[in-house]
Amino acid sequence: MNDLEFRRRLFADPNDKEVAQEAANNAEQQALLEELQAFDVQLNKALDVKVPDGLAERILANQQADNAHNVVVKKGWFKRYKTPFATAASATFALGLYFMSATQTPLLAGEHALAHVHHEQAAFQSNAKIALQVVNDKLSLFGAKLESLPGDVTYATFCNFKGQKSLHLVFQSEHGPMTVFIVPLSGKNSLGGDGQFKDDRYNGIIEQDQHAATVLVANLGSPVEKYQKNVASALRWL
Amino acid sequence: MTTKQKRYEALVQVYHGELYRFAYWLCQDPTVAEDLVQETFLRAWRSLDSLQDENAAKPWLLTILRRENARRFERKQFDYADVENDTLIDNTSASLDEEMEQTVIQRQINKLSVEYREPLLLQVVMGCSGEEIAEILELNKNTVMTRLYRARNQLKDALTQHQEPIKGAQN
Repeated sequence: MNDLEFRRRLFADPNDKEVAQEAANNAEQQALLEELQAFDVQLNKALDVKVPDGLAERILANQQADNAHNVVVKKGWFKRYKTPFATAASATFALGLYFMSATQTPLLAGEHALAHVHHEQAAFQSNAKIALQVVNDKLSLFGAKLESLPGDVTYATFCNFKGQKSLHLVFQSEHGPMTVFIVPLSGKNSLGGDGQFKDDRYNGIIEQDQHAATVLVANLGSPVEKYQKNVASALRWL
Repeated sequence: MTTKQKRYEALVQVYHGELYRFAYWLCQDPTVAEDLVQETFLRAWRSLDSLQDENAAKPWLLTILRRENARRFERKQFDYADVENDTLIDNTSASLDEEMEQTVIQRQINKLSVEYREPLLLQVVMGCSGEEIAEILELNKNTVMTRLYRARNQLKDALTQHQEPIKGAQN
């Protein structure tokens, strides 16, 4: 091995055993070898950035959520509930309020939400509960968190909502699974207004404030406004 | 717990840290790095059956991660916070001198072009052999060794040149 080759191989891999053997009989090469090995220790230290806390747990939670989608749902949704909520009266009240106040007609964003829910039926395949903490880990990317949700979350994944990165959630209510899209809005962009929308299978509602649009879609006939308010009031922006 | 689940959890435990560091230095953004690692492991889970040999897990995961990273440029980019790289680095328990030195090295690593930076990261962070790097990057081994040589050469040159200004800035 000539000097040039020694240097090339040493710089390519300071831990090359053949290179080390070669250097053993040559003080100058030995010095260069030690210098490069020390340099690699420095490099290693410089590259050793801190891994975020809880990363492994988040990866596994993500996989659990993904895995749950592929499990065939054997029980009907109505059998999954052991704790119904006392909501019927307030639901009626909220619905009444809505009919007094609503003036808007369905929107393009509503149509998108319906299409999205129809398309992503996989979101309803899971009945495994996802911890609120996992949902909040995702929401933290938007600078938001949820204090609670009116039911167990069984789906939480980022989705594209009309070109906007949004969080797609499904929670189990006493009216069946409900879908929530939390779509962050940055200043100017808007989804096109608030209001209710429906098709032959689902109805839904969109509410927007300065932070985000919250879109809720549920089985036709569900008191979506009440649930929407419930979700909106639990949503905190940091 | 199923065997598949156990196998997967072992992979996550063993490789998530190294993969995160690799992703961090590859894309130079902690948020993107975490997303990349999440996405890599999710894809790994979905196709875990295609991994026959546990010894091939590292290059296999790295190949997935690099593909995900490439995909990032194909689709519309989300607005990640644009933060100066220098300010993000968290060096725990390093003295001020060491910290300065590491910051300088980090800056120079970021300045390396990706064709030199990537094989170096694979070697130093991931502990890959020349053969493994060649396989992952789909290059022949000689090319890989040349790039590794040039990467260290450039870094050493740059750091030697930088020694004077660092001392000047130290007060």
